[in-house]
Amino acid sequence: MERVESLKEIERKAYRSVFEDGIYDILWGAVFFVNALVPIFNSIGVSRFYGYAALLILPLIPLIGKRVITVPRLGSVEFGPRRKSRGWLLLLVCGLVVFLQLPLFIIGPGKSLVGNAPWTYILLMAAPAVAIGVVFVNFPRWYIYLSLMILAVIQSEILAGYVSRPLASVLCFGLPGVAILGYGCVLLANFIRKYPKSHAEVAHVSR
Amino acid sequence: MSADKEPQSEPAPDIDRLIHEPARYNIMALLYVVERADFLFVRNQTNLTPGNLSAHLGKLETAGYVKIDKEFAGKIPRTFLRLTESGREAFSVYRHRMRKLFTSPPEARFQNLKGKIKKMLSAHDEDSGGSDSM
Repeated sequence: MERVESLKEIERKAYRSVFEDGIYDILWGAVFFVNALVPIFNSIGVSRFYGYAALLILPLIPLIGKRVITVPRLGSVEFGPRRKSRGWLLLLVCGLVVFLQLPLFIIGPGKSLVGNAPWTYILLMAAPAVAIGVVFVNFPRWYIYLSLMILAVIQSEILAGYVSRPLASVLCFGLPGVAILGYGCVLLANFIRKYPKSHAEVAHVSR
Repeated sequence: MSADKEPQSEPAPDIDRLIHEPARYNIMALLYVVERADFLFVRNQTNLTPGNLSAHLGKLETAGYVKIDKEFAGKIPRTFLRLTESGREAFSVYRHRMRKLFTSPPEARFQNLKGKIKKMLSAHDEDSGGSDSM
């Protein structure tokens, strides 16, 4: 009976295995890290543009990581239409959430933030969308990262009143960033050890 | 492990024995919940050795339950596996029958078994009657 009833569990296990590599943890850590670096760049006279450029480069981490590390070791899988339509719905909902927040930040109470701390503005705008994403993705670890991110934004704003902004950013974003990056690297190392690169399929299924 | 070496006793009435074997059940169940997966992914998820997986896939492919496609990602060959329509149908029938088997009350199962034994005995009687007349 257990065998017959466990299809959902099999699907969930297959889905979760895609996240076993720690690449998304490294991405989260990198987001924290970039947040810590932008005010430092700014304080030494380097344009904020480089910070935003880093933001654009970050999606390359999962794109390249999955292609170079995960797929050759774990293999690749395409999930059913239900999971795919869920992904599209997620994209639509997240886009809508960001779009609906625009007036709040352009003409509403967030207006002052846009001028003074655009990075914080971007994070605050993205947070609800990411929160919805976390629910859809159903990956509990991401709840912690998102909570840490929101907490870091609030903490850095408060701390910036007492210490310099670069120091506040390093303390609030840099420290959790290093911890998450480290955790992601440990997961990645375990993943590489657990799934060594294999070309066995080439030799075996010959038809 | 070939089909003719497997034990001949039926585990349950009308159960697809090709799917009933645990390793093949795992392969079918995994391919049932995804659209398609490559050989490596199925191997990692089922914890089968490449040779073992290959042998089971051969049987499932022969039965028309699994479709095996070879594709190339650059110069690297990749083997993709998916359930065919008949594979999906067979798997859902298997699940339905297993569920029915386990949820039906013992009396009903006993009646089924009784009916089967009666049928077997009458077939045996007919056979022995035929040989007597000769």
